[in-house]
Amino acid sequence: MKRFIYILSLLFMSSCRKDVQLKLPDYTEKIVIEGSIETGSAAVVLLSYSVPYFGDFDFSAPQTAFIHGALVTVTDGTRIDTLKEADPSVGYLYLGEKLLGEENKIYTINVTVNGKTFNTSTAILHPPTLDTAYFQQDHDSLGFINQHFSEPAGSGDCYRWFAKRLGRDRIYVAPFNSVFDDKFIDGKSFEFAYDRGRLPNPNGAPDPERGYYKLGDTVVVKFCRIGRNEYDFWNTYYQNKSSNGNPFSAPSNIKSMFSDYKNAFGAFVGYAARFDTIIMR
Amino acid sequence: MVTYDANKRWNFGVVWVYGSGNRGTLPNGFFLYEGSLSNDYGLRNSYQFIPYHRMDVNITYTPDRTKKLERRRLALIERQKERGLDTNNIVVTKKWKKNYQNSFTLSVFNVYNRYNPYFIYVTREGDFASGTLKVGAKQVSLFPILPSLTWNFKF
Repeated sequence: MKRFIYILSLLFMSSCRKDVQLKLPDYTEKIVIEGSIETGSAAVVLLSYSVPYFGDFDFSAPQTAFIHGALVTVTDGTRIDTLKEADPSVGYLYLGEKLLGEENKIYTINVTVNGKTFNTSTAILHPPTLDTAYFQQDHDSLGFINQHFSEPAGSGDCYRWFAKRLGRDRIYVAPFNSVFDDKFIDGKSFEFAYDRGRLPNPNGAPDPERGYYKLGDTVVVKFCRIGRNEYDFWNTYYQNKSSNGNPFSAPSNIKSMFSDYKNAFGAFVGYAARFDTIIMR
Repeated sequence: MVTYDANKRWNFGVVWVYGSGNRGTLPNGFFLYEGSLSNDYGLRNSYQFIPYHRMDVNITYTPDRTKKLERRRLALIERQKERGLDTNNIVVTKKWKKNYQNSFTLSVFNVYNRYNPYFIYVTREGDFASGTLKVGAKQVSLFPILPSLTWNFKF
């Protein structure tokens, strides 16, 4: 009888989840291009390779995924800026110098890696204006940023939203689903809110204010109009993110702005921003 | 599926189910964008799960009702004799039990405890940039070996 109880206990305690070895189809690494150009600033491009899950990539040497020695140029049709590697020993980050972004201009990027060239174009569009932006307290001293926006008539506009806490964030951070288009809101006035985007957190330290702004913060909102291709990229990027680690969601790949999407994907996005400063009170 | 009636009381059954593995879409690779990692999925349904199979067994015992009724009749005759009554016209009252039948079934689902995949997902732990990333894959299965005892009856 005891033996029977032991066996039964083992059955009840056995897990329904176990580690498995997968034999995935062969994976060819792709070139990942993360580029942007803003008004008054030169182009910034990050180049890396995608990494196979179960290939021979050495995860203890992540720098091998960074691309160095690539030829990256940005042109506005008349002038060409050849981007330089910020640190040639590492690669990855390429910075322009000569060509500063200007509103209503089109910029084309050419990225040449291992003899193959990938290109796409982006326009820096006139920035939109928020009517108002204010702190929407949610609980305790934490809350979101709420804003009123009158969307200009004429369909096809797309937007991206960022924010930065002065003295606390290094960069403007885009929250999840930071893009929207005017498919259902064309020419309408409405309110919308965003929570606080997350910066990469390699230490994994818990953030008690995660997703929230706090009373006393001074936040600069950066609101931009982007093109349709740029919107499609970011929209599918967030769809892809939402399926990360969720076995019940539909897997979704990103719609690249680069034509040769089988070998390279990513975006080159032009931003002209309108800035609003909000003191959380 | 095989069933075998050993006699009126004992019945045995075995079922074996086999299906080629389902197809699914899994990420083949991942990439770094805006400081975080995202999946790069392969072609739709490009991954085939391992085959699904399991075996279920059952044993059914059906008590012999006529023997029980005969035992009851004999017991009744015995009592009548003790009381000095006539035992020639003894009838066992059936009432609602006259059509009553029952049986017991012991069955075991997935008898060799195979972990058939319900879904599979990949995992990432650690941080890519600092070189501490670890990747893996996990399979979730729904039903391990499941014994059950059933009492069937009809009336």
